[in-house]
Amino acid sequence: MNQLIESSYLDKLLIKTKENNQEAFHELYEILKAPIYSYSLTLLKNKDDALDNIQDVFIKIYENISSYEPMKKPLNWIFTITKNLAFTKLRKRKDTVDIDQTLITTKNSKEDQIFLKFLLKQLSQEEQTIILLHLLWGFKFQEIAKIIDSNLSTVLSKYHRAIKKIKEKEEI
Amino acid sequence: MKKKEFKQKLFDMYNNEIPDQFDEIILKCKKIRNGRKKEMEKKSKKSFWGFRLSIAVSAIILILGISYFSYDTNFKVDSIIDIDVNPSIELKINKKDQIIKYKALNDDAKEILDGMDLEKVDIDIALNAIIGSMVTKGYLDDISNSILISVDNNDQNKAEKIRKELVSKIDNILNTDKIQSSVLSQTMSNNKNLSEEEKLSKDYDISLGKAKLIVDLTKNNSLLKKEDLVNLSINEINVLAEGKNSSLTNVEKQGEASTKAYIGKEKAKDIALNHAKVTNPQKLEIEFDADDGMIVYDVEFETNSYEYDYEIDAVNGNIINSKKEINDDITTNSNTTNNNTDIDYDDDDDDDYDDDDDDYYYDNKTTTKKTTTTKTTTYISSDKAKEIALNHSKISNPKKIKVEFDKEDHEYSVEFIYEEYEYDYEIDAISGKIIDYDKERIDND
Repeated sequence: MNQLIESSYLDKLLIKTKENNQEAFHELYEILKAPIYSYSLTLLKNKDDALDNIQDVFIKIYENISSYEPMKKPLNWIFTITKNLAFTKLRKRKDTVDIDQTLITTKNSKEDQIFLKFLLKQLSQEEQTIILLHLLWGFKFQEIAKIIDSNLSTVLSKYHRAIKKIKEKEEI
Repeated sequence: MKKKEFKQKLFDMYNNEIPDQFDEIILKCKKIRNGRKKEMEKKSKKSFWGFRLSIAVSAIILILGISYFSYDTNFKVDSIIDIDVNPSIELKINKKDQIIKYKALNDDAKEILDGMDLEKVDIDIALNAIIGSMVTKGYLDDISNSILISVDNNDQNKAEKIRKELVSKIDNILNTDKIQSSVLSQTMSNNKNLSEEEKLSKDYDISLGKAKLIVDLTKNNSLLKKEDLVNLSINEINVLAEGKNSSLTNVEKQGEASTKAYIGKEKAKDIALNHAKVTNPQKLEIEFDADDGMIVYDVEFETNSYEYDYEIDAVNGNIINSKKEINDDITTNSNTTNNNTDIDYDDDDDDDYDDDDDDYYYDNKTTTKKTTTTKTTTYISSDKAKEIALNHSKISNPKKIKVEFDKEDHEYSVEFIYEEYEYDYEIDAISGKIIDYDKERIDND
């Protein structure tokens, strides 16, 4: 459940991971893999690269866990790692990728696959970012405005416009 | 579908796209841990045998003395040198200026060091090989000509001496390749407190030297953010430092950073003015800036009516961000609070203006402004939210009406019951627009 993305809970899991608790690390993975994947996919527009990014983020967390101290914003720490590793991949990659070929799945229904493609193709990158950072990462709109260097009213406007597009598509 | 349900649906859909990689991750993490363990064991083994040896050798102190001298000269790390371009390489050298250890700090550096064996090699020769490889592989050329050398030695004089020698050698090497280089160099011996730099280096996997350069630059320019700079190459950081006229207080510099990769200020200006349809701008300012790991031109100008602020991708000229605000200098000079019409362009539309007739945010939105830069958000009252919901539902006497304000989402939730139906409205607390509404028959089961 992504509702579990709360700073205090993440902190607990990170501290347990630091104490070599593999179960806590696993739970961390289960909670964060979807947010990390979705945001990585938005930036990298390639499923394999986004999956690689999940692995790299968790390896980076593991490598740096010994120096982890309980802090106020563990989510921001993990988000920054995700963003930087994705940007490193982007810098190295020179060719462009057709998003149509990147979402091949066995678990999602046909409708859900179409919906995910819609998210990636019909929403602008900024709209995708705002939707994912708010709904999956749990960032507040004020925080998102800071992250994408925009202002609150613009972020809210884009969020609502994106939600409207999704509703039209999904009739939700 | 309610927001919570949609969140869960989104979460599940993305989760379904991800195969279970945890075992693979754990395996890789264990490999890393085992690698570290082995290194530790090696060290402790060395110290164990060193202890045994010290008993045996206590009888032959003279030989030990000679051995120590040899160790001190040949095997003890005297200086650590970081070379950063985009590839980042760390070299550890002994007192004889020979390389004891070397490390690629990023993937680009692995490519540079691929096939090289630099152990026991003189620093001159190693430097030649490394810089040569950077030129051959296209990391150093006329478009990207900046290199950073950072020397760490406990003895400041020695660090300074090595720094000067290395800068001179690099300059010579690049002159041979006819590259007009820009060499940034610094020593780290006098900086006892490098905790901020060490943290940055660790968090972002960059060299301590690059971390120090970034900390130095951001200290001198509060508008720059460290996280925006960590993924930039040294040339990009150098361009920014020059553009911002930020004196890098602890860095020596030789040569100018290349800006050949960029479209140029004139072109950036033209793009912004054409886009804004402005021909005679006032107070025009253009400078380099960093945004999300890329170099942009920040173009600001005014007309009698508006203030404009553009961010333009410095490489391809794409408009990243654009902002247009009423020019307060014209309408008011003394009031600290005034109503201001804010128009934020939609970056994705070709014509800038949002044509959606549903989009209330772009229609003369009124916000309260204390200064030209600090804005506070004003919300409609809960009574107003209630009124909007009731007007929409055409109901005047509902039962059990409940109005809640969600601060995080800047929304009012208005719920009420009328006859056999339950109504649920979500209303934007800034504009008063109905975001969502639901009418459900009350289930008596």
